[in-house]
Amino acid sequence: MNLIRLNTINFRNIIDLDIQFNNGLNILYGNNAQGKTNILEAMYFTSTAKSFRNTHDENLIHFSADQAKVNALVDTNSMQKEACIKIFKNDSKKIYLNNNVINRHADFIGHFIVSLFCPEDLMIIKGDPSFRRRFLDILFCQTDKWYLDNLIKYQRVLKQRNTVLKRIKNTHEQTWLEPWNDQYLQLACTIMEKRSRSIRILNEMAGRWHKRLNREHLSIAYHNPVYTGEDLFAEELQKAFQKRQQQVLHEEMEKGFTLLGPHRDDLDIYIDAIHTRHFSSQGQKRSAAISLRLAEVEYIHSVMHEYPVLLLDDVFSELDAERKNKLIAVFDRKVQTFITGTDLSQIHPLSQDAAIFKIQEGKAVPHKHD
Amino acid sequence: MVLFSGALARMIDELGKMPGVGPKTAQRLAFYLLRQEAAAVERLAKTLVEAKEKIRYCSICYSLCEEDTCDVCRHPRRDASCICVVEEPNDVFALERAQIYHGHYHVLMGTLSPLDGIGPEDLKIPELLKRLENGMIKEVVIATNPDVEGEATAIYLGKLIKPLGIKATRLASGLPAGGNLEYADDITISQAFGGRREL
Repeated sequence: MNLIRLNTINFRNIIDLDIQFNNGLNILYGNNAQGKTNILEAMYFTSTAKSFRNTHDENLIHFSADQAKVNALVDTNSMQKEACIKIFKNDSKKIYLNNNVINRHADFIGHFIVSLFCPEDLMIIKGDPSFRRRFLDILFCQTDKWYLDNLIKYQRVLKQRNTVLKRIKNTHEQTWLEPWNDQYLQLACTIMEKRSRSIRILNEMAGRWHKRLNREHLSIAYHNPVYTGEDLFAEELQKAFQKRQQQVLHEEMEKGFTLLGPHRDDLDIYIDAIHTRHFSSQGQKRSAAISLRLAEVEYIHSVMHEYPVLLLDDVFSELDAERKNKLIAVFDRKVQTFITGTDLSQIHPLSQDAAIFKIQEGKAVPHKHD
Repeated sequence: MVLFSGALARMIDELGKMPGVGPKTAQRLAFYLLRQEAAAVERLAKTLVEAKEKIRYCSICYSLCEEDTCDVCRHPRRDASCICVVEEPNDVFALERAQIYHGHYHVLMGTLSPLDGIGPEDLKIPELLKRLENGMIKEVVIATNPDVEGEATAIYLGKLIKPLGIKATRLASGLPAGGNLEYADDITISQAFGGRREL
């Protein structure tokens, strides 16, 4: 996939931007707070219709305006598509694909995929389990519509089921719970099965990348109380899940929320058999996060038969020269890549034929090669 | 700047309360109505009031009608051994348009949704069970929507109906008729695949 052209209006500090990009490497450099990350955020937004900064949509609008627009011309499978999103002050947005209105957010996901590497990725390693679930969910939702549909339904069922659990706290009247249990069980198992299967694939990919860049052994494993190592067939899984669920039902009714299921899953990440979350150095955590992202890129390629567009936000400043060179050599010219940084001399030697843009006060000025 | 005030503002406000009508459409409708002759607007107002007065829910199936019971419930040749359960009165009209079903209906007036505080007793479920008591009903077709709440309602009803020795069925979901597999979206295809049947 390639981002051919990006046009944004009133997005964050970018009043009006219209740039065409290189199919290979693109470098966005400039001082802090000039808008480099905002440009990557706009690109990410045209992919997922969500910000990676975990904010309300209306915060994306320039303070002086009452609506913002992001427009991206992309090339996927040699077809040109135009994705356009308008964001309004009342926190609503309108999504268009090739000038057609897209009403369901789910119908927009997956048409154009980016892979974002950013300093906050460290949280995948050291943050609470929700960061790791988010990492997995964004990846699987973009590459598997069925997973996305099941996840949306699961979250809805979970809300309904939790409301019932709270209501029957005193009575333990289970007839209210029954209509939700079948769907809860089925959706939970479908999601768990997909996660288990795909995490095994990711594990191989992440391990290979990590070895190549760091000469250490990285492994990831699905952490779920029902899965205990070996693989389960759908029926066995449902049985095992149901059994566990019966065991915790009483506690669930006492506490008033659902204790078991994909919303409580985790991903165990090990370097040389040591759990990274608590026992590895900052540098190791950082390189583990990069290996996971590289595995994500490869996973997307294996499913979609196309590479995502890479967005590397301020990643290089934290790597030593050897790892930097290795990382940029990884995808070479096969993958369109955007890199942000403050110091051009640090990034520029990485590639001679990169397109370079100087970002200043929300504007992008193409940089001529000397 | 001149803003809407008085009767015009009230009119736009009232029109804007309707589903699918935003402030702009409300304004358009208001200006349209003002351009019409007085008689035409009166006719519209009268029609609205009359409809609201006359139309009520069928005392048997809770579909819409102008008498005590609806046309379907009163029809002598409709299959009285089969009841199709739907969420809302407009679902009855959708099914009737298809002309495939010739039994009776039962409108639940919603779906189970603990989040909105809607439980079985807030729906017309006790009334449905009462209709099943006479021993004439052989099959109940559950035609709630295939979303999470519709599904939960169907499961709940199934569990109530089956012990009565009455057949409970659920509408299939999957590929649209006349649709080309090529043009169906991924989720629909996955659903149709999950619901495949033996030839």
